Amino acid sequence: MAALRAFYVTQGSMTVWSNVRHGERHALRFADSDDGLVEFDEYLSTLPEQPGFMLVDVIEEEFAVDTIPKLGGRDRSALLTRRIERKYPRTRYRLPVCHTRARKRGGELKVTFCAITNHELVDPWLRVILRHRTPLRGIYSVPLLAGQLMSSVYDARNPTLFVTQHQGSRLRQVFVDQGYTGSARLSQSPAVSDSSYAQFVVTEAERSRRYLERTRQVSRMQQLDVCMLADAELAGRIKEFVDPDGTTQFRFVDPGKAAKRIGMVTELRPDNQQDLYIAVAARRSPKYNYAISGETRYWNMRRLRHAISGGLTAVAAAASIMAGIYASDAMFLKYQVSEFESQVSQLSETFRRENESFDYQADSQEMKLAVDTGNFLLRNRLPVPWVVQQIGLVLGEHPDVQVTGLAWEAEAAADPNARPVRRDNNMPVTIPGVHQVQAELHGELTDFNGDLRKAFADIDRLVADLEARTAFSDVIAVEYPIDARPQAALSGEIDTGGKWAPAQFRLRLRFPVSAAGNDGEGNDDAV
Amino acid sequence: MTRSDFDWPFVRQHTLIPAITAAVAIAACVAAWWTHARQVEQFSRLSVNREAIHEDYDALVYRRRLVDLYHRRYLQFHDLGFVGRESRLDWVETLRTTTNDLTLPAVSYAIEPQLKATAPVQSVMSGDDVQVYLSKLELEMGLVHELDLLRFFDELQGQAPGLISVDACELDWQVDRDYRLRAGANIQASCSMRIFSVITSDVNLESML
Repeated sequence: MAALRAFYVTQGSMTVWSNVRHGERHALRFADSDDGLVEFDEYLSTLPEQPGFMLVDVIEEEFAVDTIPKLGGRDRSALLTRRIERKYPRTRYRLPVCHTRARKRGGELKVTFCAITNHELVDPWLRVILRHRTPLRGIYSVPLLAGQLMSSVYDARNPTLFVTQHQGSRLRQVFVDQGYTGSARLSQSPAVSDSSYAQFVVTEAERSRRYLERTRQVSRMQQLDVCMLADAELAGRIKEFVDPDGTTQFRFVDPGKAAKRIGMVTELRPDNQQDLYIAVAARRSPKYNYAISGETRYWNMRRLRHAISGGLTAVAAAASIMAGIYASDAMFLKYQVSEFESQVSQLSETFRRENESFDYQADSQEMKLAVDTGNFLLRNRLPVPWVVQQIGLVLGEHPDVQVTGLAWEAEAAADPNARPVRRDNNMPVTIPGVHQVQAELHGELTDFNGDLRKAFADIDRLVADLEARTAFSDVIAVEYPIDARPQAALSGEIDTGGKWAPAQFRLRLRFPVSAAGNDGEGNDDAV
Repeated sequence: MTRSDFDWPFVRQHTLIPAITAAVAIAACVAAWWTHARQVEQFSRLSVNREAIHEDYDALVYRRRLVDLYHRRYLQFHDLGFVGRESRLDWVETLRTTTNDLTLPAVSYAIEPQLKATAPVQSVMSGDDVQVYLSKLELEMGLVHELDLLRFFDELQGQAPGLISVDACELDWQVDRDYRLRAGANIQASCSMRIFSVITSDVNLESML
């Protein structure tokens, strides 16, 4: 946190503490004269940039408690401005303090109109400060700070007169009611160590009480607490002059404890208790500020400058971070790009080499199609020797059977999507697979002697043998030497001495390929 | 504070270095962003290239695998004449020589015009890349013995170009019907066959050469 300067303005001088936040004790005092102003001007020219605040502790500060009707924000502001201009027309250091936190009284609002009536006490110093463009946080007054200070060190239950010793020989009395300043006095006093000091304090307190009663801020019977920062010795001296049954009661706060509560890092001197006010003003911006006419413009501009600098620094930091992220990502991508380039080049070279070594004209898919088609055809064709061999296997054991005709046909499965096409149509024909092999065998029994029963039995035996010993699963005799069925017409001629003609028959054989499975898988050997 | 109270030189004090820092940082950020965008673009382009080459390479590997798998058999089909144009002259010549070699009494044939066929197997190839053809052939033969039929077809398959499929046959023993026999034939056979051929780019190239 930057060092903060305090300009403590009193009746005849101004004292400057260059670093009040760190409890600096060394102060420069400038007299309220032409020489003092020249010295102050020279002092400021050496260090104009350091910000500060002005704390006014003068007699010529007036307070007038009044009431206004409760109004809306803008109307109230206009009324307060009008009233305060009428009350204090000759100074611009004026402000109304509304007792908004105080207990409400009907439809009215209590207001304290405050003003530093003699602006000449402040103006010369302020002119020098503004000429040097020294940032000034505000112009605060000791009485207006009293409420804030007192609430930190003392728990007030009644209207309280807060008494502190300033600049060695001045007694500051501030009347505070419900946290709001109602009146203030600054009187010349003997030194704290003086034997008459206790009597003086009690007398001044009674005088202040009478004033408060006259201005109706305190009633005659109302108890007034007098809060004073005093050590035990001083408190004992004062108590000797106080009526214990009176309506004015003294409360003492240990100065060391008060300083600690305020956060002062230096010891509080008993005759310079204005240090407490300076510490309070330095710690936090006081609420009430007389600088309402642009006196704090350099402070505001300094804040604006800080905001701009801060904003620019933040932008720089954000941009640097983004730049770092982008740059690192770009570096990573560059590395990956070089990796990819290397891979692409290797792959391209490998691909080119492999492709060059590939000396087949036919595409691999063409080969596959041709081979698959060939395999399909091999699987679905009927080998001629197979049919002849199958039937020959059985007929060799039936020498009395003479084959007169043999026909076979490979039947394709019906294609459900097939449509009849004309022969001259250029549409491609389909090549279906073999569904079954149908064969028909015509034969005759050479040794037939008219014994039809034996002939029937021989034919049935042949059928059974064919079915059992060949791949044909369905073998039926569709024609016997005679049609012996009851429903058929039958005629014949019986010649007892004649020669018998061969008994003819016809068999139908079927080999279902699908039932047998396609074990005729085309392979190299099949080709 | 009125507008005339505003002191720009005062506000500007001590803001030069942050301003320059911010400007440099922004410039660096823009430069880094631009470089990054270029790298991203290059990376995307190379990624696409790499993917494409990978795909080509995978296709090549697959193609080589197919070739390894099918080439031997393809050559066998090629030698068989199944892969290639159907040669009617070869067929007629083979029929004639086979008939002579087996001393068959008589053989007559009828070959129909070649038909374009749909490949009976699934393939990624379109119909125009590989053409499958078939020709129907009707044979009438007089045989001395039924074994002649087997020998005849063995010879045909061995000598004639193309893959043949015998779809139907009818044998008729003529022992007691001499008047219908031609000289020396005991069995009259008639068979229906199909001759298959496949034309690939190899075949097209050969014919161009």
